Amino acid sequence: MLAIIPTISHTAQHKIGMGLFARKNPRDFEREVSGELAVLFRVARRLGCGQEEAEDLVQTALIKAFKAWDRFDGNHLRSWLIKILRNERLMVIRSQKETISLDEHEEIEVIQEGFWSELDGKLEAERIMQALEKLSPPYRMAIHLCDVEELTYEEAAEIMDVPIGTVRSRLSRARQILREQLLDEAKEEVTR
Amino acid sequence: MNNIRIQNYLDNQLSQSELEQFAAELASNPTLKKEVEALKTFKSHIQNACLSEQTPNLLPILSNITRPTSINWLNKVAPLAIAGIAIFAIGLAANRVVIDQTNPTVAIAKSLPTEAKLYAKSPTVMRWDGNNAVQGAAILRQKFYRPIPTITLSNLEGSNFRGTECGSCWINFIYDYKGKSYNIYGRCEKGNLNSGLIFSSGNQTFYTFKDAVGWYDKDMTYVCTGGNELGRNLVAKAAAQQTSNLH
Repeated sequence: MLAIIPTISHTAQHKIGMGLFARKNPRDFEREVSGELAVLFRVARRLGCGQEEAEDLVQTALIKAFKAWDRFDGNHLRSWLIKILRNERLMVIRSQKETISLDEHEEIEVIQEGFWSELDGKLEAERIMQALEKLSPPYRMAIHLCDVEELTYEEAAEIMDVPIGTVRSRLSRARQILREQLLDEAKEEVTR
Repeated sequence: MNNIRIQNYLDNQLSQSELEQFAAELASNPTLKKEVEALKTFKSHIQNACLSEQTPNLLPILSNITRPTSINWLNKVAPLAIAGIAIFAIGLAANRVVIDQTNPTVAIAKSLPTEAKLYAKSPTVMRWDGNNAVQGAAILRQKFYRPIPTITLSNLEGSNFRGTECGSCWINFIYDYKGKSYNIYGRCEKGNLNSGLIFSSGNQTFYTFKDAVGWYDKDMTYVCTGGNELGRNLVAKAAAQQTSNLH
């Protein structure tokens, strides 16, 4: 039942780096990680957890991270924590035998004129959140990691255990689905 | 218009030469510029919507993980003080100290509140069936990454261990006692039992509900469910003698 503690490669830039050496002091862990709690909670919510379940998931991930703290290389703290959190969530999902399949071919997409600008004036926070909830988990994660938490493609790929190209195609597809949902909703509102 | 290129431009994924080419196109193509701006706005709206979501204060959880032995003095004393006052008040009202110190009636007790249903706080992730409680606890420890007790109920004659299970942040020891099944749930939290009827046994304060009996020990909350009232009280009292020893 034990999940593997993830290690983040050194290929990406040190966007969220903490320095070269791991800190072994519990106080250091507390200090460094305290700034990431909100991020972890948001990611847990995007992974499909309810409020209380998200708190539990964050707690479990923190316990695991704390135990692995002396093995953490000090780079990309946020990615490292999110990956632990995601692994924990996947264990739960697998135990519930939930399977997710996506068509993930990267392709050149040609869009028509006014594709994105058609969204002007239709972007309300509540609607966006509702549309996000409807996305399948891998798409929702891609959007959240890259657009909300502003991780690089490389970091998102590490966290999600997929190639960078897959992050790119998921992101593109997720944004398009979101766009379609928001436009559909706006159209429905006009006809009501 | 190529959507991936627009996306790569905004996400800083273009190489230097691609970037230069795209910038030149952008300067000469107002439609492309409009699309880029619209996608940029879309991204920033998504970000703002998600960041505006309220997050709970998780710092106590973090502190508890890094400094598990630092129990807040007030947190430790307050439940005992409240318990003492409540027992005194019940005693006064009934013109006696407590209805029954060892076997309180649950007729007037409330049902276990939702916030104290430890097992409902996250889905079950592991279940192990067996008859060796020490082995069951060891298996729990592989999944549950904080110190937990080993509840063997060796001090309760007639009890039979049946297995363990856990969720992300709760554990359960499953027992049979006199033909009925009992669950002893544990979770790292405090304060959710306080609406129960209080009774004491030894040094331990218990909180009785119609369908459960609970207690606090160290940083954990325990709830015994299943079976009948008498069985729950006996199982809880026996288990509470083993919940102080965490490892």
